[in-house]
Amino acid sequence: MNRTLQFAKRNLIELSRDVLGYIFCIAFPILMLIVMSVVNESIPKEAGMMTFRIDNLSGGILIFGQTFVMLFTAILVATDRSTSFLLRLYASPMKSRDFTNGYMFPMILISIVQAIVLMLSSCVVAKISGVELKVGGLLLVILLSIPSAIMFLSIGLIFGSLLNEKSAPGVCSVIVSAGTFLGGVFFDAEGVGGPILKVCNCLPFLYCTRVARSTIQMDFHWETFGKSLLIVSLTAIAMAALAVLTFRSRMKADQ
Amino acid sequence: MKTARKELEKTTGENIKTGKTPVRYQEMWWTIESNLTEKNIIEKNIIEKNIIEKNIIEKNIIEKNIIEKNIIEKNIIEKNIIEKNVIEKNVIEKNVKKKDMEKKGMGKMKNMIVLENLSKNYGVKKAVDDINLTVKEGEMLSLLGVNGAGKSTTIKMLSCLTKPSGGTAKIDGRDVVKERDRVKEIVGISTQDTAIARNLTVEENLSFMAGIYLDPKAFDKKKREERVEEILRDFKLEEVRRTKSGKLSGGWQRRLSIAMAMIGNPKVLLLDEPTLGLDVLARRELWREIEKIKKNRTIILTTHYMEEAEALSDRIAIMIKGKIIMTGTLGELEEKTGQKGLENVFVSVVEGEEKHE
Ligand SMILES: Nc1ncnc2c1ncn2[C@@H]1O[C@H](COP(=O)(O)OP(=O)(O)O)[C@@H](O)[C@H]1O
Ligand SMILES: [Mg+2]
Repeated sequence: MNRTLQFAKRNLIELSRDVLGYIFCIAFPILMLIVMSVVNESIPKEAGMMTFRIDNLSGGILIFGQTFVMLFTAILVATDRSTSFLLRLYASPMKSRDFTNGYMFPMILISIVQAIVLMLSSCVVAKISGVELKVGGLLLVILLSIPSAIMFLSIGLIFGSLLNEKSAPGVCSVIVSAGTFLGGVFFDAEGVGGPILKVCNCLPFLYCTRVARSTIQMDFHWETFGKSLLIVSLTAIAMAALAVLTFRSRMKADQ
Repeated sequence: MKTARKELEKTTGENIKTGKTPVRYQEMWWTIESNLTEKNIIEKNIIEKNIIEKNIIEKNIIEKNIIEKNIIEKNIIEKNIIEKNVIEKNVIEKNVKKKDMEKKGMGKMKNMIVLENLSKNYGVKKAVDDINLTVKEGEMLSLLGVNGAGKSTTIKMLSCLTKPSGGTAKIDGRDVVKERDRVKEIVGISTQDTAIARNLTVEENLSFMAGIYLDPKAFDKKKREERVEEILRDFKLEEVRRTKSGKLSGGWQRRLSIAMAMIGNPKVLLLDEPTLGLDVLARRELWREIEKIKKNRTIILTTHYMEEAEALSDRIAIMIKGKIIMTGTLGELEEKTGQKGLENVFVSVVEGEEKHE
């Protein structure tokens, strides 16, 4: 456990020195929160377009932000694998779980900080646009967004283990776009319906946004909240297990 | 005289023919002439003075140059003497150490590293081909060979970074395949490609390694910090402790890499080409560090620099195309090949091998 924490600390230092990390994981989601709120103001009320209203938007932006945590996990792991530093650590008494947990812990921490910052920003936006946000929902979503965070960073760990440092960012950007689109962050997937909704329902991303949105609105129905949280949690567990296996097998292959 | 005549013409306003100065102007002529002569003498004197001065200055410059050259030469000679002394001291120390070991019964010393029929194949390529090697406790062995000889592959097998295709390797009686975790506890490694976390400072790199290698039961946070300070001091890394390690020069990075390998005070240290790509001064500097950490430690060092193997090691193993051809002290190798100096020994061994094929 001590070695896991030592490695986690190293990774946290490494990430904290990357300015792009702050820009993409914190600044960019806040910017989108503001931009989409402005867009929302200009949509006529009669259109009945609710996706960008802050109580819907903040949940979507939260998931949007988490996709970037995935991207940075992939970059960190892929870059490390290309260096002799990681190879040298394979000769140390570190076990493979020290590596995988050491990558995941700081990412979970970053996701939590990200959720706190985004929810505080949402409060400010809500105040300005005169929409009421429930404090309980905002606090609760910090906790209940952890499963989706684990799912995303596990996907990042998988791509970081499989791809090299050059191709990992590219492939992950595809997931960022797909996750954001098919997760219905910037459009009303339920409203659109049809084949797009069918695809969305087959992938975990829409369930992530549903959990975040319904938690913030404190709407704890089975269909919107319970079922989605269950699906997200199970996917997170499966992805985490897959990530551990992938990293372990790559660790052997890299040697 | 022409000027004197022109002068006379100017003062009298008459046209005076050459050689025929009218008597009435005779006195004036003499005055003008003597004036001119004086002026000439003075001018001549000035020119002569200038020449003399110039000569003196030039002489001074030359003398200064000679003195400077002498000083430089003296410095070079002194430096050479010092270097020679250092090398001689090393040799003497080594001899003393050897004698000590012999007295203590080096023959009875424990075998720390034992390789038996160790092989590693990459596809059809035999990177390491059936090698046998024993390194005794406290001994420093140089694995000498050109690029591609199989040195790094051997080091990787010993540090559990790659699995042998055949044979066995034991470190302090622990098998590198079956007892990986127990081997990792006692082996420190500095890989050929400098393995450091480039975004972390020197101090952070060392703290991280301390956290990985030091048993938290025996070393609490304070003791770990003390150990980091100790290593920073030992390897003279204090002045760069807060520098990001990726920004250090090659020499400093190597030094950090070895310092990181030393943090757990390992019984066995594996150094893969520690001075590769360093300039002469940085190499000498690193040799001194390696000399310091030799005490009570078993070390395998790989190198393709003859003088490095000669300067640092107790014994030398010559590796060619995956095979260890000859092992022994420099003296023993010289005796076996009938050559003087490691370079000649090495060349004769390589040529002997080529004939063999
Ligand atoms: N991972 C690998 N895959 C294939 N061939 C390798 C690998 N590592 C080393 N080799 C080959 O094995 C031989 C020995 O390499 P190495 O041990 O690195 O030599 P040295 O360290 O003495 O320069 C070389 O011919 C090299 O090309
Ligand atoms: Mg090598």
